[in-house]
Amino acid sequence: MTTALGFHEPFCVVTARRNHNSPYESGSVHHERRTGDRLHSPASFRRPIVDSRRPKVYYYSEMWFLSMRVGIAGAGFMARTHATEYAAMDVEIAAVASPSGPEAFVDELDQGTETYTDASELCDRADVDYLDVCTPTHTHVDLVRTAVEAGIDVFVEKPIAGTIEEAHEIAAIVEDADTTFMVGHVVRFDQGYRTAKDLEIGSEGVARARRLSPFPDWGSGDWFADREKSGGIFVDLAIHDLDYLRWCWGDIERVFARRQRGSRAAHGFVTLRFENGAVGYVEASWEQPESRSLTTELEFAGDDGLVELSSEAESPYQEWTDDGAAVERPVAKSPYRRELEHFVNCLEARTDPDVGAEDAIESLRLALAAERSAERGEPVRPEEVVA
Amino acid sequence: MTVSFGILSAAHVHADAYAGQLAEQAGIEFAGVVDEYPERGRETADRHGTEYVADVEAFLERIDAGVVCSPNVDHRDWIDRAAAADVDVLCEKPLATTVENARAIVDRWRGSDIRVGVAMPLRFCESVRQAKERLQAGEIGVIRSISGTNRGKMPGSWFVDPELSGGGAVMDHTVHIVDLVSHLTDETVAEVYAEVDTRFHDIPVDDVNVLSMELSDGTPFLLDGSWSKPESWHTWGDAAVELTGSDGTVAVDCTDQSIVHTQASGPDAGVNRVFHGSDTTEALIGDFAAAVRTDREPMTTPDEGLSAVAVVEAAYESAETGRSVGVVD
Repeated sequence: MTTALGFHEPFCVVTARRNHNSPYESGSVHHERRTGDRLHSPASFRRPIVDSRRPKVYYYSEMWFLSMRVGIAGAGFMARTHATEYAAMDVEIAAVASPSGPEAFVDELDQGTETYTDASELCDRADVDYLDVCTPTHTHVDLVRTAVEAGIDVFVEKPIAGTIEEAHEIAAIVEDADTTFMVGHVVRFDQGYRTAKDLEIGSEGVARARRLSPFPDWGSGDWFADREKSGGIFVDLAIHDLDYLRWCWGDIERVFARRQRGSRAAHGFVTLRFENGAVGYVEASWEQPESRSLTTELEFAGDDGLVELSSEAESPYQEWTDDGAAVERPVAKSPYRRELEHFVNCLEARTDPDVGAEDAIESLRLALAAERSAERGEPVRPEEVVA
Repeated sequence: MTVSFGILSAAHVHADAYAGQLAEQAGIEFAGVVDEYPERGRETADRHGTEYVADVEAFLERIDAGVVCSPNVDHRDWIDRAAAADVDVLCEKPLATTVENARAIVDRWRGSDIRVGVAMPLRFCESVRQAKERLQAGEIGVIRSISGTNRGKMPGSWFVDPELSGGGAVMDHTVHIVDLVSHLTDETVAEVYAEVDTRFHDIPVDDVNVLSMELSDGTPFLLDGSWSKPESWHTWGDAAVELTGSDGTVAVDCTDQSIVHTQASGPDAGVNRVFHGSDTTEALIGDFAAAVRTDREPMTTPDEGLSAVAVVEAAYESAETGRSVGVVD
């Protein structure tokens, strides 16, 4: 049996599932500063910067750079995944809010993080530069509104929301307030996928993307199993590749989808016809056995070349012991790290992140079009999906 | 008992592989080659130490069985002529280019005493055999979704002449995996949605073939059978299928037993993959020769060939109409 081990696992939500209980096992966090000391720390100088928006420029003293302060909404798997990255990024996790109580998570952080059960309280009281929304999809719109009303910038996990209406609401909120806003379409920050995008293949022919894993069992209250909350296989899983393919090959004219689903299992296929005439397809599975860790595959076939990228074909680190075998694909910076660094860089440089609300809405629209097609047994044009 | 075989048209690229088996296998007498083009027939015969025969009807009178390697549109005619002479036939795939012709072949077969086989070598792939055993034993539970590929290089020659081939990648690279899935699941394809186009090559037939299908029991089945592999790719193409079940997943890749061979110079310079798995052509010819010898059904029969042709026809109809199309029984 081959299982990925350690915190170097491939990046996707569905990957590190076997380790999600202890994302901190290998990553140590040593932050000395405590919230209570802030009046005496350079962080207290940050507020007076003159700007109509929140300060985006951080003072440098002879002593230190002032680290960014993040509030995390959620204390589940994604929150822990992000926290692992923040530990290496000089981003201080100033506060965590979770209705189910973030204490266990915060104890693991061991950096004097404030705890809240209500994210709006976090936004009102905690001194944070941005809110990182790592909660179930159906809660995104309320959390974004809360953060923006408190004048805080926002990073939100993908998908942006479960419906186009909610996604539009989010877009309007962040636009009105001129919030720096980004959606975590993390595949765009994977080095393999990023490299593949720019390889020469001539004119686009057929794109193939697969993403297969066991059913995600790490959602608090099993929210992945509740399609009202997660949106299902296309909205939560296939959206990774739908977004990526759209980023690479442009807008899509029509989708056709089929899927099979059970209470804790789903497997679907989405075929795509791009506006440039090319064809593509995405296969997404939450129905693999526990022994099969996240498997991804990407191919771009063109009239003058072919790109092939496959997780199963790569084994840069392997380990065998009497207890089993493991394949790892370690990278210096995980895709999560790269996406979060990108966001922090945008905050500092006051530039727009690469994946804003409009982009995320179009990817959600594709996923919802796939959902609609699977229900109707007909091809669907994404622009038909307006709700 | 030795059975005598002939090649009935050497138009297909596989003709040489079949001829090699006919020349080598014990219990087979390779009686000769007939062909629409004497030169092509003569060359094929010479390469395998047999004779080119100009008089087709006389040749059919003296052989037990023939392997039809003609262009697709001529399959029906060759089978008719063989049946008239009481000659058993192994026919290249697809069985025919239209449901109408495939049905006529099935009728002819049922109305005669001859054995007719369809060349579906993947059924003989060792990993397919293993998958069949495991599926039948219920090892992966109820099958819930199927994903397959049969990509290849653009074959050129008469394959891209619609008058002879009946179509492009959809015609050429749909039936292998469709047949394999039927073989493995005992279900047939009930519905097809197709994205079909010509985007890789400047040819008068399709080379993009992406089919989103549903089996008779409702299982989704996606197939990419495009001619999307560049000429410089390391092998001819691929043939793979993955079946996800309620209790497990089985993945079969029929080409994934290969040696990496790098040639420094010459026409094949570059990295090539050389297959070293069990020879499915040998098994296919062996099975058909045994069927002839012992008067039993070969591995794949014309009714099964018809089912695959019906999927091809539905795929073209879907591409035309933009809708998911039901496959005729």
